[in-house]
Amino acid sequence: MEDSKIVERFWERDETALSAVSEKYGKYCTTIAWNILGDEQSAEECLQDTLLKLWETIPPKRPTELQPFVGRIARNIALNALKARDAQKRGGGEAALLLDELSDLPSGEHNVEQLAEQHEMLDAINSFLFSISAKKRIVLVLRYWHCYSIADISRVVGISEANVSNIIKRERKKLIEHLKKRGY
Amino acid sequence: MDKINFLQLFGEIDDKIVRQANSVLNLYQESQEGVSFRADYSRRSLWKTVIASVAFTAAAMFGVFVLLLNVGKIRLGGGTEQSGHGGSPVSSDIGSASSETVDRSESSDSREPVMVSIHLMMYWNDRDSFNKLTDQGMALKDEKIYSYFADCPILENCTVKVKGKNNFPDKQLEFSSTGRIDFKATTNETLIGFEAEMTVIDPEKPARAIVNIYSYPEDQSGSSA
Repeated sequence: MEDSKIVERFWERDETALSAVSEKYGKYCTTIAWNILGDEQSAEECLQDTLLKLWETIPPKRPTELQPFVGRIARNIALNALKARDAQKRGGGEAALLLDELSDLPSGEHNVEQLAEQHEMLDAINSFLFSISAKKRIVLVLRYWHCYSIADISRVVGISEANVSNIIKRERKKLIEHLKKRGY
Repeated sequence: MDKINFLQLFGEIDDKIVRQANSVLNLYQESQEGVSFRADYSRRSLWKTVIASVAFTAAAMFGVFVLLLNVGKIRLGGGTEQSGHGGSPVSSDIGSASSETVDRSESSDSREPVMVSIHLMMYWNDRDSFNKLTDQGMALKDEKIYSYFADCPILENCTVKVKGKNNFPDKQLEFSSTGRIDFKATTNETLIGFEAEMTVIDPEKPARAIVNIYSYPEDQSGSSA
């Protein structure tokens, strides 16, 4: 079913919209959640929470494309669940490795909870991502947006794991420099 | 900065960027579904061959059994008719039937299906190319010429060139549109490999190609040297 028709059903408060989303993007959401949380049950719960959140969000929102919209909700729910866990229990998911990788992030006094600053920083991240080649951009997004493992990225984009690791390492370093230059 | 907050912030990046990565993921998933379909096809072909071989062997054994019975009868009969027609025509029949059985059996072995699938997809703006080697194939003992066909059911925004990795196709295999190319290849390797190279036409659009290489499962002459 087309995204626009699914969104229309949400607006009509037709509950079949939920099954349509689950059928079309359920696997996509659970993969992201599983990548972050590392266990099937949590990923499944995350999908249910995502559907609930969608029901609450549409309306008033009317996304033109559902996949990034749904994926973003699933991702945020999974990251919130991760936050709620004890640090020692993080081990199962790809997120533990991701968080280790990000230990060299700028630790300035800026509080990302502040909306204005978040927007500025987001603009900086977007401008960086648009400035690099599509290949590198996709590798970074699969790593930090979809939280895929190095091995999975290697399979998806058809390049070696060593190559994927090198791209991530180099581009992350560049991104951090890019953010530091802008005072973050 | 809190790392999880950073990941959450990263989740808010421009939709265009996420869409691009999603399209690569979607292509990958579609191609994986294609693989399982083709794997099923391969198994079916293999089972067909196995069933055909078993049926043929059973038929051959039955034939030999009937012939042996006939020989017995003829010998018995010949014993009774020794002074009459003689046994030589019957003996030559037995000989030809036996050699035909051996020939067919060899032919059946060499007609085991070979199937390799090469899946390529790209979405780069820096015009990259890569190779994927197959790791499937049948055990080939002697250098022979085998008949194949390369089938390209999906070709979007690219051209694909296929080369033999450890075999020698008799012609260039280049696809600029979907279709099929028949070719013969010489090899004596136990595993047969092909190498495919994709050239993207428009680097801003996703490109993908699937190339399947099949042997002729029903080909009688293709397996001959």
